[in-house]
Amino acid sequence: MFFKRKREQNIFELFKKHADLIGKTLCALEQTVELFLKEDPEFMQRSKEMHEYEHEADKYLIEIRKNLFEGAFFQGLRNDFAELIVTMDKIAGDCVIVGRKLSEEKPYLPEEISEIILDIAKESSAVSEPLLCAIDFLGTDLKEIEKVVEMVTEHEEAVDALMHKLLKRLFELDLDLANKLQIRDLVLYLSKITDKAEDIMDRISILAMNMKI
Amino acid sequence: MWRIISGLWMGWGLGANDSNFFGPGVAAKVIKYRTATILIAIFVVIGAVMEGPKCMHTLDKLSATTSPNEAFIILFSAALCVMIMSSAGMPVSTSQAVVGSILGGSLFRYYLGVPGALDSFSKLGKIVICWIGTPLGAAFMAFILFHVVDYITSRYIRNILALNRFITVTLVVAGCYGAYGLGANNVANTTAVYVASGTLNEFNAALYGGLAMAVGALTFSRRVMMTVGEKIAVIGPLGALVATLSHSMTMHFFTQVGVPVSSSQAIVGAVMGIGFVKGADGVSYKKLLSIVTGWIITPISSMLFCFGVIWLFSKLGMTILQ
Repeated sequence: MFFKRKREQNIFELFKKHADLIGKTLCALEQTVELFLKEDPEFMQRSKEMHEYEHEADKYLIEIRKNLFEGAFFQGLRNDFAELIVTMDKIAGDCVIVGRKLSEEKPYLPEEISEIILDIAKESSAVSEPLLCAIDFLGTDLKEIEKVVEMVTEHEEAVDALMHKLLKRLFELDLDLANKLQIRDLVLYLSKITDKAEDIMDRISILAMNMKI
Repeated sequence: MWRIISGLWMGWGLGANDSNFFGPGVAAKVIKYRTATILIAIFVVIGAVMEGPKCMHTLDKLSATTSPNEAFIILFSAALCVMIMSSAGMPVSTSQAVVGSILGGSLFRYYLGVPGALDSFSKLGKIVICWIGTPLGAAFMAFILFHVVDYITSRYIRNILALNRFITVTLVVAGCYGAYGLGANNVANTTAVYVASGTLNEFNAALYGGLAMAVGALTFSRRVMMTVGEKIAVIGPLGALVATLSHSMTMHFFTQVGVPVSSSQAIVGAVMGIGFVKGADGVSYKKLLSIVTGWIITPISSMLFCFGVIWLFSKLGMTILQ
């Protein structure tokens, strides 16, 4: 019967599983960066795990998209959900790129900035909790979403400040320009994670607002 | 009996063009097109049989015809006029075209010197008020329902899944109600003149008219349904629900008044009502103007066209008055 909208319920479950994997990827990213800075070879394993999580998340993405365009939710909602899940997936993509850069390029990260890089990784990883909460609130209580939006904004601002501090310090160091650019490239990918998390929260807020008449 | 073919043609066209109550639901894939048309067919026939005679009485009083041939020509010319005007992209309402054609018949009687032939024109007041009241009533209804639905959703519906379920169920119910209202209100356009001329009794007129509309919905409604659905979908799922409900309630309201009204003008009025609540930007003044010009152009064109067709048939040797 057309009254039972099981498809939406299924999509929501898949959506939560996808978000869980993004959360795991973010957690693995923090560990990868930490282990790399400690020069612990275990970081390669963490980086590999990130790649596996991302690959698994991709499968959910395909399934969700397929279900969405087979007619779940309303037209506008459908597009919002599709864009939301793609942006979520891009977070995992950025994590994998950072892991790859560390394992393939093995950049030299001087002690003067290593602490800041770790802080950026921690702040980036910390967005996973409010993100998961926001997605859960879509399916439970829309009014609660605004509370977690602020948390992501705080992490994003913190990363911005850390990035500014890091770049200033990096270009004061006595290093090869190539090394400096390599490090800058790495941290730019790290900083993109909170930007994307903020973008996701904006989309979730708009989605919740669109539910008003 | 063959003369009812023009009424069935009119009914088929009505069913094909005005069965757009499920438009938002079909466009959003909440309900399959085939399922929607089956529901429309069922509820149009139920509406026509249950309440169709209410509007038939009004057209019955308006029409002075006692001739089956005249009834045939009135509906034939009305259907042809609607087809020509629609093809030319002009705003046209079936209800207004039928009333115009009936008046065309009266005009022909006057031409022949039948006493009291123009009495029909004096009975137009209530009908014209209802025509004007259709978009206005639908807009007012949308205004009220907008606030009711807003209250219900913000107070009782807490998440997207619940909201999606609420909209799905109410859109389907509103669609069935709309189909019922269309059958009840518009069946008079298809067969009321046959009751006036004594060709059909009320029940048969409602049943045949309803069945013709159902066939129209089942065979040829996809394009209009999708177009209307996609246009309404722009105002969001809850807006689409309010528009469909207001449209349906307006049709049913005017059935109780006993006047067949324009379904297209009701939906335009409902969408405008939502536009008014959201701000003047949501109001299409071009559409408003097309409705107002339609009130004048459609019945006058249809009246003159019907007069011309009756005159032509009479010259070809058909007995018009008995």
